[in-house]
Amino acid sequence: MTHLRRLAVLFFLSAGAAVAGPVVLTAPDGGMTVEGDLISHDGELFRVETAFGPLTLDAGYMRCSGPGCPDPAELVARSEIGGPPEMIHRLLPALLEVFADLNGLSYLRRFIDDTSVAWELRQAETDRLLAVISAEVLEEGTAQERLLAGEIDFGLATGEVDTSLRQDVIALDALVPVVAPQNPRAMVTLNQLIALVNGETDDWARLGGEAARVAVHVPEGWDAVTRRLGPVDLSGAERHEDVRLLADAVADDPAALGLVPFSAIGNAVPLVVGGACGLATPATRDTIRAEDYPLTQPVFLQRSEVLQPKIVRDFIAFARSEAAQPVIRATGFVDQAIGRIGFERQGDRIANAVLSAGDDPESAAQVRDMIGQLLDAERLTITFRFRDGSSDLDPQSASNIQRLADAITRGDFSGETLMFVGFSDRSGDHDANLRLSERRARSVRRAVAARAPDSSVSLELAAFGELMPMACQDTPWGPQVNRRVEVWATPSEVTR
Amino acid sequence: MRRILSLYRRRWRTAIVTLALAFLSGHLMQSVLVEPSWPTGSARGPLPTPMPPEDNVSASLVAPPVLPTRVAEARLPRTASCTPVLTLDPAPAATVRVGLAAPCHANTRVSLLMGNLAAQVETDAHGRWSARLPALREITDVSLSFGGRFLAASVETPDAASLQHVILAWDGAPTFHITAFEFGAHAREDGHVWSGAPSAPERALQGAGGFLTRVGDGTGPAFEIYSFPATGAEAGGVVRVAVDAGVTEENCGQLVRATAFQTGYTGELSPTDVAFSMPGCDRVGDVVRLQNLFRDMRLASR
Repeated sequence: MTHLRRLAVLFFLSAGAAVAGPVVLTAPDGGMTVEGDLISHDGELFRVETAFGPLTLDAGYMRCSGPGCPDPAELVARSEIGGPPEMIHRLLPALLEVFADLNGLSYLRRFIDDTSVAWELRQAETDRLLAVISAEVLEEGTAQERLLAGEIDFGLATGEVDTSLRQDVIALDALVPVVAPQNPRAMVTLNQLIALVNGETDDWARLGGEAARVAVHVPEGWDAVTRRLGPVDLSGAERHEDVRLLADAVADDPAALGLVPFSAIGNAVPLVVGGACGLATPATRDTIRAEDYPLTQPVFLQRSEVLQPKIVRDFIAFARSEAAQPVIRATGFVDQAIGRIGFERQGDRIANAVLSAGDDPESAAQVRDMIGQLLDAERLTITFRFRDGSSDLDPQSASNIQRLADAITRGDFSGETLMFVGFSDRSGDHDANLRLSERRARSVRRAVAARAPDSSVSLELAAFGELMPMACQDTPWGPQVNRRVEVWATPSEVTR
Repeated sequence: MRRILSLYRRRWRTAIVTLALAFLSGHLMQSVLVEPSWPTGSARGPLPTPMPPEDNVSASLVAPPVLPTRVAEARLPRTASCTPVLTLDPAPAATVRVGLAAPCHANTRVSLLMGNLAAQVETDAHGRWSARLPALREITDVSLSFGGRFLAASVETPDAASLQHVILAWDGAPTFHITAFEFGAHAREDGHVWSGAPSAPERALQGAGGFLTRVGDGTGPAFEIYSFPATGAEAGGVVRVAVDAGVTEENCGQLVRATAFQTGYTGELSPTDVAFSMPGCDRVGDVVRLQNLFRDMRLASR
């Protein structure tokens, strides 16, 4: 439908463009004016014959006046976005409206019904309509299909796609087990959680609580993340398209157990999942940004390769920029700004390292050496992890390469040294782990350095093998969480 | 029940400036400065206020000492003159008491402007109108215009940032109601706050929840503000804020416009123009609930 409309517009314009005439094109701030004869116009670019020769100008930003102008109503940029309710109704409005404010655009948010909303973006001074962005709540899993069919221009999704579609990580989220505030249970072991989700533990009495049948609620579209818990069976669970309603259903029922995105915990209460070996990482903004929390999942903006109008491209660039990170955070999603975790806030990790070293004097000496090297440093929330059983970075980490390089180029670390610190899982002997973790750290450093070529920040390497585990090796996600390259910043004078 | 720490309370700094300006043909022709001169209990009678000629213009600047509102009202020159007086008093929980005494303008429509929020209200049989409004920024500006007169005043409200707000402003029939469900409250329970159960600013002070303020007489511009503490000791739990819109003969099948404001990540209240496609006229009398206009409100942890 959209496709047909766009074709119709293009046809009309190419027909109209044959009748060339004098035009004056003006930039929104009045800083540039171009006079000439309009050669062509394709809805995106003006080509104008001027006294200085032919010029090509962006139709999304230049205002056209004069008899040669195409019908202004046809110059409106149009774009359609589809995705799950939380992204269409919380994430997108905040990003789009801050983008409009920053660019001097006025906007009208038009609610068509519960599932459709559209923005009209206008130039604030002239009130000229520049763009109409339509957003629609789509049934989970259909965005990709609609994108490929050309029915929407963008998709927002938690799931990764494996096609020709382009995708960018624009925010982070994670799956969190939750219960009602009235449910007295605060912590479960991983095995207890899996048994609850599977329906094997079907009554809270079996965990020592009051007798009540466990009601399991899960979100649509998160099965791949849920499966990271282990072999779970979700056939007995109630599924929810709208995660807000999921959280409300759990918060209302003391017998409910929910798996809900971190961005939509609402009035439910997170359960802490303890591992059998005592390592437990709660879901927080920092642990999700660092991907230390095992059920972390990026939010993707997916698009086809069709060239979008300039205003839409600018919006995407904004959504990925540093400036957008506080906006994303305010919506409840987790942003990708680079945070710092001081050494003093890592007591539990250090304790893990010391406890794991045990009585072996050699291991203890290695842990002492590691602590000595990191004592004056701050860990960045940017961490690099790899796809299961592979040396390829996972999507969140791949996105972090450019993000870290940009921060270095911006001067965020001037006067500091960045140390790429490799860690491995606990299988294999220490020397092999050391070599493996150093190799990973080296490859990440190479990728970052290639994207920040003119930087004076010194990028160093360190590797400690399995010395600082973050998750129990016997959990399904343990090896993957433990295999990582961390980045630590130290003032340059401290390192030699 | 989740506990929220009480709002930060500080000693009120009061600055009351009352300006009464009358305009004639759009031009300010003359202004008169009046020193505060309060009648004592025994010395009743006309105040020594210069009375301008009927068609002339007056301006009075009254800066009373810090007084409780009731005393200030009792001392208003009610019998003395037609000069209308607007008073703004800071009140607890980041609110402002707005009082208009316009003895010669009984049952008169008044256009109120607070910042960029507009409402039409009406004075009572004694020419009075009063309300307690949440402070939206550290200086609260209120202006009133009625019967060719214009009054403006401002007051410092240094604790304005202790509240966060959602606001809906519209023009015309009373179509909209903000309805807030605090920490999982259900309809008509404690914690369901709307104009039928607006709660009180003191509730925010006690940390128990928010309160609703509705301004407008239902014929002109009107606005509703739901105010909720900005920070608290515990960050858990959210307030779901929806808007109920009544389908009427006038708006059915139409596009209804309003302006929504919500405290954003910078702490600023940013306006969003919104439009709703109302259901068809076969659904007159129904109420449509708009769940997706406002973000959930939560306490920022300190």
